[in-house]
Order: sequence, then structure tokens, then C-alpha cells
Amino acid sequence: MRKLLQSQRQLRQKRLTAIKKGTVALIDLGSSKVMCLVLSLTDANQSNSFSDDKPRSGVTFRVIGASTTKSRGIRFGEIYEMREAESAIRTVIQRAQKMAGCLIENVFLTFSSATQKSTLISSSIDFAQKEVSEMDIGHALSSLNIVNDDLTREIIHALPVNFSIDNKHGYMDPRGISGTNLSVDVNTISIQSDIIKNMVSCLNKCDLSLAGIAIAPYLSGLSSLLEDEMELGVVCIDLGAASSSLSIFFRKNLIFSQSLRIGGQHITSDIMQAFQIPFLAAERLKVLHGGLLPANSDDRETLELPESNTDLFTERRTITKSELLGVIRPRVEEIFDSLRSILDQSDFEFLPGQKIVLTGGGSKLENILDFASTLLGKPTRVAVPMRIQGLPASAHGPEAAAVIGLALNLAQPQDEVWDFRAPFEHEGDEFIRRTLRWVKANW
Amino acid sequence: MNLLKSTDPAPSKLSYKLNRLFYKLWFKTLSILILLALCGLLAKNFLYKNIDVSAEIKFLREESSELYKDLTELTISRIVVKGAQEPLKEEIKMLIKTAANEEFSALRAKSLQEKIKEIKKVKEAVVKFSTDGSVIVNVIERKQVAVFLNNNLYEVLDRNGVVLSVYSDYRGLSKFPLVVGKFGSRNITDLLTLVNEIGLYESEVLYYEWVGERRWNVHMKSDLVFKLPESNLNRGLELMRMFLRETNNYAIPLDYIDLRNLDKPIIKFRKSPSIEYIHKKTERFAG
Repeated sequence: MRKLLQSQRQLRQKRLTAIKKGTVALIDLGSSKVMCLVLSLTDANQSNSFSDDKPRSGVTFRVIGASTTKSRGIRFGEIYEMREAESAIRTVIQRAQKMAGCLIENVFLTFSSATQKSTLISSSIDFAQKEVSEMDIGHALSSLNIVNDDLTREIIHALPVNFSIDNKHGYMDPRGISGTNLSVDVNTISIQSDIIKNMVSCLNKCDLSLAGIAIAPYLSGLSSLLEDEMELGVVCIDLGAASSSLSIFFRKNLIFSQSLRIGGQHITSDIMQAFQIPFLAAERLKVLHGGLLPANSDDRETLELPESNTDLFTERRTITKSELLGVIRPRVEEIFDSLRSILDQSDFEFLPGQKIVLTGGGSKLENILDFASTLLGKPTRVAVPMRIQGLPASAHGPEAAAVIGLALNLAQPQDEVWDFRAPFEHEGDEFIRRTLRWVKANW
Repeated sequence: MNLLKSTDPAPSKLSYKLNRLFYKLWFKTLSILILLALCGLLAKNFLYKNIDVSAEIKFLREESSELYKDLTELTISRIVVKGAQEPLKEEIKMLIKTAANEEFSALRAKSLQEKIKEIKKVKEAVVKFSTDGSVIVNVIERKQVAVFLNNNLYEVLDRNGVVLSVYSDYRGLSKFPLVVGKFGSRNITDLLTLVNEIGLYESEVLYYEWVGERRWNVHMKSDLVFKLPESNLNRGLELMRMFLRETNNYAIPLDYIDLRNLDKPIIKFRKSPSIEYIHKKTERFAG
């Protein structure tokens, strides 16, 4: 536990240092594209922290550089070919650096890993009748069995999602409430540690320093969901290229998240195999003519398949749009069937909000809204992420949801377990710290 | 994947690192400083070449107030020349004194060095100034090794064929081998090898002739001429030495000994010898 807290706090310290420098880069390592935004940060001098033990200032930001490149060497959010991934990162960094006109040193990273695992754990402590203090919260959090037994996994998020005092639930900030028993629910998200190691190594090879890391499903939700939706309960489905992820938010907290190893590239791959055309041509066919719901004209609408230029004697082949839909639809059905089975396991139906929000590049598929609402049986909408200052229009689409969410999370980070001080850390310097705080408060 | 790479090329590691370097503040500062330093050096060089400091000082001394009256050029108290014979020493000393009187800027070590190197006898020169006003000159003097007769003038040459001095009279130069023939001065190294090989008989040599820009003829004081071969000079010299040992025994004076064909040396007599004499000599050389 102590080791986990130390390592995460080091990362938090790096984050603060990076913010102080005024320029940071955000990178979304996707399977189809690598996207980079460069933010210019300014201190807004507003304390938004839950645990103001070390008050953190909120920051305002402006996008001063943006670039996207085709992804190389990355599959399912993992690095498969180090050199290729390194060259992709070099490409986006150099372009973004040129656009921003400044040097990028610190990088915040997001990716959607198929190995992510979301676990909800809880603990409670009893104390004498009194008001709940920060120390009690820290005590409750430190009694969590947060340390993962599986040494191959690493916890990257540990979000306190609910506080309960004497069996009364739903407290977001229990400080000052009287009671005898305090319990806390924490949602931990872990991924295989090798994935992080590879990414850090890749960034180091590009002369960059990792200042923070977050998973894409969580960030997509932050950028795409409305406040009311997050309060009532909502499912955010991020349809990525190689993986589709699902995250459930309730009372503005991420309570569950999971990923599937199926995505938009599988649809392209199906088209490629069905019509024996190159991958890029299949991608083009999917983007321009792809759809999910059949229309009467589909049998009459013909699409010309690209042919090899070397073979002059072969007749040009054509297919009908209904044939194309016949290839796309089964794969999308498979994706949504898998997502529905995950939803069934996650007790989403008990939440007051039953909305489903689609985001990610896959959500641009024609008629996906009607298709998803029919298949999942819930009200559905396709979300475009929140607009942020300075973001070019070309970079503002559902496919940029994760990186925009990362910018929002950077400006207003949610408290995680390591932002609270555990009781075993209150030894040594506690007296001096309290004295300093008293002097500061009474000056 | 290949298609993607071709449409979206990644920067190489070097260009990426250079790009990052150009964004670093310290690198920009360093570049600007280097640029400024270069500009300063160029400006200094330009000013130094185009402004005669000595003239400026003279002008100030003559034209301006009392303040500049004592301003004077650098004075030289002593000149020490090392590594040169006496005549060259004197020449160098004279040159430095003249330079000091001429202009202030000429009294720079580099400038003096260049001037000293212009003296033909000087191969290399290093000039140093000491604080007490003395000038120390270390020189490597070119050594006279041969004399080349060129248009009735005797040119004294060093090992590299550099003309050190020219005389109209051969007297006083007889200790050096005399070379004649077109472009003979270009083959001094060959000549020195030849002189070395001839050894003891060198005093009997009148002059060395470079013939047809390819081979040597050695003219002896006894009017005998040795025609040496173009290649395999050592073998030719060996035969020449053998003939020289025998020459004194000849009853009839020889005109020349042609060693161009080493297998068949030709001996030409001044007067026709008798058949018996030729047979006797032939048997002797045949061994």
C-alpha cells in the first residue's frame, strides 16, 4: 500500500511540476491513430480539491498544438512493435511541437487497454461519536485492501465513489458529518504492468517524461457526458478501432469500466475479406458507404470496388450497398451483444438513469443510434465531446473524446485514494505540518 | 502498413532530436552567442586589416594635445636568432629592425614570422616576444646541397630544389655537386642518392648532367662520360665504380662508357686501340 501511494504521489508531483512549467502534451495512443494535443496552462487560483491537505489549484488551459498520425506498432492499446510506436509518437510530437512553437517535455498519456479490470472494494471504520475529519477518511481509505495480489497488474485509478455514515449512503464529502461508522467504496482500475512499462520506455526513447496516465473509457465519459447524465447514471460506450470500452458513471463517479477486444478495425477487416480488397479501400468503403439499417434503395445502389491497376483485363467489380451492410451488421451486432452481456453483469439496470451514450470513431457509423437503441433497449445518443478552447475543428469529433477528456481531467482532477493522507503517514512531520497550517490560518 | 508509412513519414531520430534541440532556450542562446562572436571576429579582422594603427598613433602624436605625446610604438631591445648561420642571422635581424621602423602592426609575431619565411634560406620560423622587449626567433635553415647551372648562372639549391642564392661565378661553390641539363634542379633527391653512391670517386666528377628529363650522365674531370641507365640505377653505379677502378689502367683514353644497356656496356675510346688490346680487356671484364 505504502509503495503504491508513494509511486502514485511521485506521479502527482510530476504532474504538478509539469503544470508549473506551463506547457504539457496529451497523447492518445489508439490502435488506428495517435493523437497529440499541446496545452498551454495558466493557474486559475481556485481550490477545487476535496482533500485540501495540499490544496491544488485549478488550471485553465488552451490548446496551442494538435496533430494526429496513423497508429503504428500499437494493437488493443498495447505496444507490439516498439520502434514503430516510437516513430508514431515522434511524428505527432514533432508536428505538435512545430504548431505550438515550444518544446514538449512532459506528457500525459491515455489509452484503452483490453486488459483493464475494474473492481469495486469497500471498507469501514468505527469511531467514537464525533464529526468525521480528514484523518478519519484517510483511515478508512488506508484500511482498504487496495493492494493487488496479482503482481503483474498495476492500479492506475482508485476513485472513492461513495461514502456512507452509519448505513446512510451517498455522501460525496463526509467531512463534518457526525456518526460512529464510516464506510467508503472505491473503484480501482488496474491493467497489466508490462503495458505501462512498455509505454514509459517508448516515451523515454522519444525524450519525453510521463507526467500522468489515465484510461480512455473514463476520459471519454468525462468529455462526452452531461452533468445530469453522470449524476443519474449513464453508460458511455467508446467504440474504438481495435477495442470497444464501456464505462458506467453514477453520482459523477466512474463506478465500472470494461473493454472488449472488438472494434471498428474488425468491421474493416470483414469488408476486406468479403470483397477481397485492400485494407485502406475497405476502410474507405466503410466510412463513405457503411451503414447498419437497410433501406429499399440498397439493392439498387451499386458501389464500385477498387481494382488493381496492374491487371487491365479484369472487369471492374461492383457490389450493392445491401451486400456491404450484410457484412458490417453482423460484426456490429456482435459488438453490441457483448456489450449488453457486460451491462447485464454490471447491475446497470438498478441505476435511476438508463441512458446510453455512444462515442469514439465507431459512433460515426450511419444509423448506429437507432441500431444501438433497438439492440440494447435503452435510450441512446451519440455524443460529441465538449469543446475546449483552441482545439482545431478538424480534431473535434467523437474520436477525440479520450484526449479531450484527458485535458478536462488535467484541469480538474478527481480525488483518488493517494490524494488523502493515510494514518501511517501522519507520523514524523505531522506536528510541524499542523503548526504550519495553524500559522498560515491565523496569520 | 507500408502504405501508411509512405503517406505519413516519421521523422528520423536525428531530425527529431535536432528539432527538439532547436526549441531549447539554452541552445538558442548559445547559437546567438556563437553568431555574435563570429561577427565580432570578422569585424576585428576587417578593422585590423584596413586601419593602420601605426599611422593612427603617429597622427595622434603629431596632431593632438600633450596627452598623446609619449605614446609611441613598441620598442625592441634585443633580437635573438636561433638555428641559423651567421649571414642568415644578420639578414633576419635586419628584417626585424626594418619592420619595426616601418609600421606598428608589422610587429606582430605572425606577421614577422611570415616575413621571415619569405627569406629563401628559411624553411620554418617561430617568432616570440618577451616582456622585456626582446624578440626570439627560432629558425630552421635550408641547407645548400647542390649547384645548378642555369643560363650561365649558378643557382644554389636545397634538398627540395628551392633556389637559395644565385651566383655568376662557380668559385667558392665547388664543394657542392654541379648539375646541368633541362629540369635538372627538379631531381636533387635523385642526385644526392647518386652522389652518395659514387662515394670516394665524387672528387673526380666534374658535373652531373640530367639528360632528356629521364637519366643521368656523369662527366668526369678526365673527360670521361658515364651514361647511366634510366632504371636500375644502382646496378649502373656498381658497374660505373668498377670501370672507374679500371680506368687508370687504360693505356688509351676513353671517350665515354655507355651503361644504358646494362647487359651490353659500350666503351668508346678516343683513339682506336689494337685488336689485341680489345681482346685483352674483353677477357678481363668477362671474368
